[in-house]
Amino acid sequence: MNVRDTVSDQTKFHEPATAWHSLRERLTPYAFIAPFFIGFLVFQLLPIAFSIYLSFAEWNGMGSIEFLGLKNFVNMMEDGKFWNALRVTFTITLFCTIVGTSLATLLAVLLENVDDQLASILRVIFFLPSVTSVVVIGYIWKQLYSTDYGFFNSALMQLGLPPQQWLADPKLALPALLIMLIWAGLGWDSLIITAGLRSIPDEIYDAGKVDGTNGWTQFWHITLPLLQPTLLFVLVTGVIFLWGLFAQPSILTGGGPLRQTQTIAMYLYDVGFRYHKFGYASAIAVILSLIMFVSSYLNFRFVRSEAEY
Amino acid sequence: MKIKYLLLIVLVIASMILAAGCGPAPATKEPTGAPETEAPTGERTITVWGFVWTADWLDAIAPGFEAEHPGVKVKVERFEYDPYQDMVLTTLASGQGVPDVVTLDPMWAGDLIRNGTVLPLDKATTELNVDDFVPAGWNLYSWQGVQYGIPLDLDFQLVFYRKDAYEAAMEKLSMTEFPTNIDDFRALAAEVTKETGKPALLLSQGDYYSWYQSFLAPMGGNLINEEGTAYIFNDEKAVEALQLYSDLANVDKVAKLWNWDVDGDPMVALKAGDAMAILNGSWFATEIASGIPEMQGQWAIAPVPFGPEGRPNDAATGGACLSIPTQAQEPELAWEFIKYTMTPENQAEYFRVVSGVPSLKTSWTDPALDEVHEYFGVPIGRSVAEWSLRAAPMQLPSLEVADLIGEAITRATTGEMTPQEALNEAAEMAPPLE
Amino acid sequence: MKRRRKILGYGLGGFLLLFAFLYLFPYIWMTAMSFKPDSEIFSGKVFPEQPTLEQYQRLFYGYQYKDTTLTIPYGTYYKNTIVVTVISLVLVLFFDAMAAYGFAKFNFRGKKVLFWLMIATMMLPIYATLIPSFWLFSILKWINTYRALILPGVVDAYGIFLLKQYMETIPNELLDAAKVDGAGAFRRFWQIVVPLSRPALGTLAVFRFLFVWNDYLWPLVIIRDDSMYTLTLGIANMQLRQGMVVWGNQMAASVLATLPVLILVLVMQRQFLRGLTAGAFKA
Repeated sequence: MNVRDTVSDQTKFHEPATAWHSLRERLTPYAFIAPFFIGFLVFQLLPIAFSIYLSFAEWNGMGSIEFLGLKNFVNMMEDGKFWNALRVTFTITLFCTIVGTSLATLLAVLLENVDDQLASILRVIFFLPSVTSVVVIGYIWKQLYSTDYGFFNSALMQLGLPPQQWLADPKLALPALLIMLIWAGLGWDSLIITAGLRSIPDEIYDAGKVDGTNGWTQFWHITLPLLQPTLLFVLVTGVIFLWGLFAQPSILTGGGPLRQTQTIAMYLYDVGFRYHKFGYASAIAVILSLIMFVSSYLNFRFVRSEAEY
Repeated sequence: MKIKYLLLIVLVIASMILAAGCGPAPATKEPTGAPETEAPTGERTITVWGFVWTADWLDAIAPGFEAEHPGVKVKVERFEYDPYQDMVLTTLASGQGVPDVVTLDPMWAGDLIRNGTVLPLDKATTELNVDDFVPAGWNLYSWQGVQYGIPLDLDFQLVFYRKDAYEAAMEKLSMTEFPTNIDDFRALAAEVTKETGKPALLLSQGDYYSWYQSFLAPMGGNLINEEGTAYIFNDEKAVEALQLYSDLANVDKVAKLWNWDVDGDPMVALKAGDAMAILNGSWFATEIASGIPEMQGQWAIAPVPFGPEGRPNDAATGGACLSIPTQAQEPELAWEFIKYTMTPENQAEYFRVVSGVPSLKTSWTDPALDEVHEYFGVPIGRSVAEWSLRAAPMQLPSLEVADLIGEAITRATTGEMTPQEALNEAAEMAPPLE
Repeated sequence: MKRRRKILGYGLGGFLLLFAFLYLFPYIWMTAMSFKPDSEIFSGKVFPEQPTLEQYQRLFYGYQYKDTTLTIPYGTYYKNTIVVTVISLVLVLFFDAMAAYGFAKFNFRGKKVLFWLMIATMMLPIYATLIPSFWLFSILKWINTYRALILPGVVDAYGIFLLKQYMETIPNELLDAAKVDGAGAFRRFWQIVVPLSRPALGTLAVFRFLFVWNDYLWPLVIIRDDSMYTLTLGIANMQLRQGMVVWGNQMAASVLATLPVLILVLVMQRQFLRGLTAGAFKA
């Protein structure tokens, strides 16, 4: 990794060290990163700073900003709706990462064992939801789940089973959302896992064959350990994505019934853009960013150390 | 090979766009709602926002205002109802692209009025004749004695029912007219459900607006006490109203609970013949006529029957209003425009376009109200106008309170809590009143 | 043994094919619904009995009700989405590649701090900056503009991370040789680093394309004018059309929104997979 230092080091020998040249030389890297960092400053750092400031204040978007100290954070601790949204988001994240990744691994491994041409067609099919707009996916499933005119209920009734209120029943809405999310994420995850599988050298499998491993033992003792960095990558990106989940539940159920599918992002949108409590919404954003940051950092360290075994 | 080509194409497009686009390309499309598009020639423009049919009416009357005020242009912007709410709330909060006149809906106007997002209309009581308006409509938009909006239509709920199903059942029970109290209605609805095998009524699950207007108000309840110091939507009357709402669905099994967020527009169920009646404002007459044209002549309207016989109100009334945002560019001209819309002729035109009966009583003499509505086969305007005199004004709660009540209704109808528990919980969670 | 494996493979293939068919069902439903006339929308059957193009025609010619026509500016949604996606893709690739080159091939004061600052914000959820960004854009009077849709998405630390990992594998000798030949820093970047980074750029392009094409929350916040709607907003707001029953219509809009991406995937499936596998997934 230290090789990259040589470029700038070597240049010092080749170039005449005039003042202008050395200044230019020194500014070059800044020129390359500047376009990004200007945008970064304006659209990322500035809003983050303002968000932190707002989290200690009360503001309806119109009048003056009133400083409140820690009141927003104290209120949050007692806000049942906040805890509910946290619970919903956590459930979704946990379920989708564990079940989703397992299914995706299974699918990826199975696809590797199928005729190449068929596998490539199948991969495209499973990848489709990843390239379909979440809004489109949301509305298709909303129609499928519809109590009165949806496909699932008409299928149930044809089988002589009672129809269900898939999205209107507080107990069924979250599972219904989870099914849709697993369906939508399967192809993407399994594609990345396929990439991980392909990066495992054949020699290792061959060596395993000499030792007499096959099928299940091969998967368990060779594939899975070597796949770990990839799986962790899938988990980490999945966690980041799922903590920010907004469009899918808001289209499918609008967060209902009884907030059973209301994620943190949706609650924050409600508090900020419907109730106009921008200060409180910012406080929620700050707390969640902290949670995200810590968990991502830990994951990140974990991935790094695991990848270097 | 192919990826090389693709990258080449991307790079070519990239450089083209970069070359052409670094400067003005993203700016080619200015927002149509921005006030900065005002003509520099000394001509003045006022921007007026309306949703759905209201905007059509504004479009129809705007030329008259322009004729009266040379050099003034009225720009009407039309929105669908659902995005309109977000649009108004966020635009007025951001202060950019704010219109001069905005149509507000009672569903979400409360917050805007209370936090000073719209101007107090000081001239309302002097330059308009308050007595010309139906009191319930006028009072809807006054808060702490100050007027913030001039009411357009009276939006209180009616029963829209299928004539075929209901009339057959009425005949069987030897009723001569549509029930006016809850006991008769329950008997009738049970008969309709039995005969048709379909729910006699569609109720919106968790819909605070519908419950408030058609159940709470006729039972004599309200949201906040008269002094404005405490929530009363968990008192005896409210509990009774919620019990009834839930019983219609769960005990009598005559009402189908419809969840808007999940099931979408209930027009779907009416069109499919899966519900024999629905509660809605008179504006729904236009919607149903365009949504289910094939059922022309099969629908009728009646005042809501959900209360004891001899009650003072049939329902509470909402209804849109015209207001002026605090950050309007032309508040003076905006007020002139609102005054202009409040002539009897223009309000009669409102009725013709929107089907909502205006708050302005002086417009009721217009023959339009007596016209037979071709979809319903009766002059619905006249009936609604007469019924509206018995309507009570709604209080306009914050969206947060409306959401809490909505959840309480869902909890009660799904049987998760008793009506009392659900309403108590909502009242406890509601933000304290100032 | 070999034969048994082959049979097993066929069995597995057949099973996966069946599973894929079930998996595709939502798409079959979408397509079938889009060809149904209004009268069949609620029939409970999957396939239309009398297929019609009516739902598609309405997208472009509007609903006819008596003397009024209710139009849906569907073409405009489409155009907006394409403009936003293309511009944002180009900008993000260019800026990310520049910054990644800066980080990968130079040493400078503050490099570590800046890099970690960037990585740290990369992990933040989008809504961390939703409210202040909205406020910022309204101060700038950028609500309802392409700028507002494009610019925040151009700041993409993730892409820099990805490209930096890849660019570090480009041998320095190559760059040094070019330097001796008198190539400036930008020329080295444009003529050597960029062409060599194609696989990673391709991966990033796919990522960003999907992100921008599918984005819903940010447009929802920043766009309030229906002539500026993107496809996601447009389809979401077709829900209510003055009592019109929109199920079929919405599915027709969905089919048309999905079609170009589908074609892209079919045409490029090989590169797609290769691009993704070539990307630096190993952190």
